[in-house]
Amino acid sequence: MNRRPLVVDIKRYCFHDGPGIRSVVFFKGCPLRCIFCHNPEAQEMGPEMAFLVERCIKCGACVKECQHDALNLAVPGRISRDKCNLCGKCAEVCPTDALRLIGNYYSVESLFDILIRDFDYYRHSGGGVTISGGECTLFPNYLSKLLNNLKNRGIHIVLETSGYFDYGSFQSRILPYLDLIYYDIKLADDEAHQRYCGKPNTIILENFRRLITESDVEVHSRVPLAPGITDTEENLSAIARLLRKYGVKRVWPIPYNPLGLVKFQTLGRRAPKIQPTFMKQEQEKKLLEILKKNIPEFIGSG
Amino acid sequence: MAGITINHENLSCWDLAQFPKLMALRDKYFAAIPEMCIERPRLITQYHLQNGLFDKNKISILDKAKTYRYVLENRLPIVWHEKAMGRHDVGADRFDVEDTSPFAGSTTSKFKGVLLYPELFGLVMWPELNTVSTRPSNPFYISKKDAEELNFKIYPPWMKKTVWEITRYRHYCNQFQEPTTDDYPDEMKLFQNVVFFLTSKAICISHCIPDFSMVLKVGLSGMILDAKEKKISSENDEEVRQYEFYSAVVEVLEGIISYSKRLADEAARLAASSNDAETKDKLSEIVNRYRKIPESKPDTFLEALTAIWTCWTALHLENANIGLSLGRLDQLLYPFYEKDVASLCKQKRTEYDKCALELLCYLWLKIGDHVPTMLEAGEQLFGGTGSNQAVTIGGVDEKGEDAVNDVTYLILRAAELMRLRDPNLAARYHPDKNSRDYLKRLSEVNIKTGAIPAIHNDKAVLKALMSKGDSEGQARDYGIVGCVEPVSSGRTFGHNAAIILNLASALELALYDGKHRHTGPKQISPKTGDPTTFGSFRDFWLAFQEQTKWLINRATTLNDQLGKTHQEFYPTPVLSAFFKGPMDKGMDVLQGGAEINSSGAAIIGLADVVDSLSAIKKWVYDKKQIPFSRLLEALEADFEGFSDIFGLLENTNKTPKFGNDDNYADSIAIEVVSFLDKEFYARKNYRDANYRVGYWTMTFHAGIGKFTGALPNGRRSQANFASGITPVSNVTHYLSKTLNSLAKLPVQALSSGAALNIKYTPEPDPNIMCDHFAATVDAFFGKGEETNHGGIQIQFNVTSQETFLEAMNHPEKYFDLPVRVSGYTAYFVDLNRQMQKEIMERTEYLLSPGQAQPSAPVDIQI
Amino acid sequence: MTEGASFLDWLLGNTEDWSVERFLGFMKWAFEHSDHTSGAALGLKGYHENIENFKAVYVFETEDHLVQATACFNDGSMVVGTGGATKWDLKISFKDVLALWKFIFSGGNDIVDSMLANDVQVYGNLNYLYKFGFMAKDLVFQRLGLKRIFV
Ligand code: SF4
Ligand code: SF4
Repeated sequence: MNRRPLVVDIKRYCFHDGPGIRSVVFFKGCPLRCIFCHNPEAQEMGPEMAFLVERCIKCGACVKECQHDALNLAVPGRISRDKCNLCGKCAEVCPTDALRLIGNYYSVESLFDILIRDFDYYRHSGGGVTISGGECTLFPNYLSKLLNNLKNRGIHIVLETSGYFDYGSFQSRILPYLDLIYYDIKLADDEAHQRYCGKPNTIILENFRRLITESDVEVHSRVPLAPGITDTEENLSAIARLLRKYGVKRVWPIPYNPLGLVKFQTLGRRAPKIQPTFMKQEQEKKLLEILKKNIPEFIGSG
Repeated sequence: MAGITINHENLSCWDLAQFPKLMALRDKYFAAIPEMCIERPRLITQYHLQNGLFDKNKISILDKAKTYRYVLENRLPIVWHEKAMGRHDVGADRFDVEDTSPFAGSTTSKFKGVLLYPELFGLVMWPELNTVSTRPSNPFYISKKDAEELNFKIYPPWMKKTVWEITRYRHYCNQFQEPTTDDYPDEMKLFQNVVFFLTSKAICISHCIPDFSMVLKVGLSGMILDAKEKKISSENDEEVRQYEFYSAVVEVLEGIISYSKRLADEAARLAASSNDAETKDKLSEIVNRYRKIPESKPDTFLEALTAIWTCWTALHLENANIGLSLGRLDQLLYPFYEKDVASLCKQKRTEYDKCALELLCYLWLKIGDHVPTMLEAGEQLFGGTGSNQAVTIGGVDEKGEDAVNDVTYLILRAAELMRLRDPNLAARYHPDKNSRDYLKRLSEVNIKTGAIPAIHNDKAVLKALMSKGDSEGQARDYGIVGCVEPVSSGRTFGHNAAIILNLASALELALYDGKHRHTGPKQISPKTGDPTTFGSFRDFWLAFQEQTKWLINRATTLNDQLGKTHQEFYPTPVLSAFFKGPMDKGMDVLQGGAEINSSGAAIIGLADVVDSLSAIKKWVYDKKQIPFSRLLEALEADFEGFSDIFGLLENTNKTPKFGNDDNYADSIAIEVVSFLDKEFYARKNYRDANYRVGYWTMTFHAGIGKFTGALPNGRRSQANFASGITPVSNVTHYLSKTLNSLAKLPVQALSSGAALNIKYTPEPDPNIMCDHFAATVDAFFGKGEETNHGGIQIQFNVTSQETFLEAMNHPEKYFDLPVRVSGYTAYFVDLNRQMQKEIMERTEYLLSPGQAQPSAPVDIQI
Repeated sequence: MTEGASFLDWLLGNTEDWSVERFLGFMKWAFEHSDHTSGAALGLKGYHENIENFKAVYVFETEDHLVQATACFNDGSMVVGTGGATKWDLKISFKDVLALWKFIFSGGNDIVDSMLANDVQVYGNLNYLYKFGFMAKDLVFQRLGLKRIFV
């Protein structure tokens, strides 16, 4: 398998993925396939072509450029994915970025160069860099070098993970550089996890236990709310029970975001069947209530 | 350094509700429309007629001083205004003001007056005299009687005597021979075309900050004594000139004293006729104060404010109200405040501070008591501005140490409560010397008011000013003039707005071989070659440089000719009396009497030009993908039918743009600003000093944008340019990228200031927002670093899109919603639709990555 | 009276084809009759005062120089001529007569439009333009009470 890490996006001047002002790097590739994923661009490890029909002005530049006859203005999705070899030439000439190659490779140095540009903003705000994905832990060697460079400059590092990683290599190559981990716990039930996320949750829960008990790094456990899947009373209270077992005191629910569904289409992939709209505010409130209601009950049982 | 002893909690509790009379007066202030005041033009014209000044070939400083003395001795002494005029369009009429301000005297005879200077620009209102009261945008009331007096009596003698016309006659035709053909100077024709450059000496004297230190130290009587001592013999020419100068200073200062005494008399008259004990008391206090001040030196905070205010009204009799600025009021006032509070107990101190705050609020209303002349077409193109009287606070003192004091915080609170566009509050911040608390307080006020104050980087400004020859001491005492221009307070007679240069027109002349699309087939400037024949980007860059130099020459030539007219027809005894330098040299500031004598140019269209150069470089020369001829065709068609080219040019990912932290474009920006700085600095003005360059555009970027066709950066025909030094909208949504680009610019090239407009989405938690804000300013200003960079100024608009929309639909509810235009503050509802749209379309910097965000954490333990 | 009244009729009915000469002619008539009963009846009383002690030469011409008119004011009198003048205080060059009237009679946006379109060019002493603008607008709007002059 090609393990050269690709980057989906680098966001700058962000306020929400950790303390202070931050840059966030989204790596491409994830071992899970959660059907409620809001960032499917980051699921596949290899590059992908995205086509956004509403940006296309039908200038035809891409068609001329393609050597593989994979593009056709008459086809609504534009790309014949079976013919396309992902060379990205069409994206280069597309004036409006209707065609985009998702996944760019940066050498450790060049990525560091970008991240260091906002150094002063991190420094004065208590911010730093957040490494996200996909599942960024898939690239321990690469990450190790990058994080080492960042740490040498005293930059605060947050890592976002699904928890599906090999603990040994994580522990030796990544963990030493981290200041804070955002750890997603989606489903407490293993079977449900297999069904909705494509993999069992045993590794995830075991890694979580080890992190909490063996390391000093602060871990924030987060629960993405997916309607009818993770937001059930049963699941939320089960997660709460689990957390309690490790002495975890807080949980961060993440509101449901259906925008990933549109992205499936632009990538030429079939979108999973799931609620296509944002949760209504009342619905969200109700879920938070459920969560809150579950928590005292859970504390009571401890 | 002054220790901060003021109680911040108290300060933040006091609001307008605690000062009901002030609040009522502020309401009236917003309900009133400006009224044209003919007092000044009437008295000036009378004096000129009575003394034959219209027939003279030169007006001496003494003649001018006597003119102002005549005005000061004959204008109505108004203690409290009685009436103001309401907005006609909502059916309002004249209403009572119920003015009980502690500050007597006013700039005009009206509650909110339009100052008219027939010597300069006042005649432009002529065609509108019958309609200005009812024009749809920004009406000015004028009575029929006053309009007739202007038409029949006041305007006619000035027809050939305005600064512009005298310049035309004198320098380009035989002196006082009327021009017989239309071959009058190119520079003036270029000016009339609007698109190339504007020079402002035909409408005002100078952007500068007068020196109040002497009146505060010795009073006007002390200054008169000084002048009298210095006016010794009159043997040789030089001495005659000096004698005349000092005599002139005495004339105007005595005139100001006479005005204040008459204010006292008027207050006494009112007191005598009043039956209300409280009113009587108030008036008697005014009587005593105005008998003493500004003749004698002030002893208290209130007296110091009174001295500044009275002199300020006199300064506006001479200098048009276009950016004349007050300087560092917190520094000037602190010694008086300190003395006042020295012996007060805690409770008395609290009462005192509350009172001081109220006084500052009243002064704020007074400072905003006048607006500049604005004709209807000008309103359409450039509207929304006030008089742009900047007040500066904070920064470092003469030793380079923290100068923030209690008065700094009082002024901030006053500005926060009053939310006026005028005065325009500018805060100096030295990231290594001033405290985080101060910065957080600036952020807080900015967030609460949405637009006030602009923040200036002391570190960068000092470097910029010193690179232009100011001494460290001079630079450390800088204040902001007009929009964003830093000058040494009371020392720099540096008409920063002397030239407004449209850089896009230089680009245009280079694209069209010396022609401009707006002026048609006429050859405007030297031919620099047909760009379709150019072999490299360097050829085009050289053509652009040639055209820019040519424009700079034209603009500086006109500026200097107008300056010479000022010297001979518009001497400035008042300003010279309140300046550092003239009293030692015995020389008018116009003749070079000031310590620093620079002039300034403001550049319009920087970002659009840089992005256009970047586009040309990349697509025509580097990639060779768009031939120049095709690019020109696309521009000709305003990109209609060229959607592919338009797409490429507009796309930041494909065409590098300034403001996206992309060195390809940013390096072009560095070259452009360095080139402009070098060219302007190489030219000497009529006072034998150099030109400095700034980047602030008021609303010219919209007005002049209207006259400019499509540009190679994908800007469409007639669209606004980016404002000030701000990148084109939407090149990035990440604020740090924009600020990094800005910080790459060499700071010495921004010595006349820069306006960076940042629209900031309000965050739900104002405290956290404050932290982000403060951190951003510190990072941009290079806190803790040895820096040479261009993070010189930043101004935020923190108003949500919804609020702007609401304000558009319900202007009556949002009458005092301030916004930053480019450098100055305007009321959003006063702006024309194009400007409103621009402000709403400015990049709103994304403060989150658009991901699902975790909600507030839920605590598991209770 | 007849000249004034007939002009007024024409003025009201045909604002789109005012010729420069015709308008200047009416202006002259208005000055001359402002203090007579015929003028006073039209609300012109006092209008003459505008040109007492006023000396000025105005030239109006189309861009192609085909239409030319001059107005000479001399201490209370006004003379309208065709053809140019070598010595003038203000020259207005315009694309067509409609552009000229727009430029003179409207404020705000219309002036901006004509500047944008480069429809009108002004040479000489602009203060003379301002004064003429006042006199023309005063006559048409204030004294004759026309609300607007373009359909
Ligand atoms: S190049 Fe881009 S815009 Fe042009 S047709 Fe292809 S996808 Fe559409
Ligand atoms: S990526 Fe390459 S192969 Fe695929 S459509 Fe584009 S040009 Fe053709």
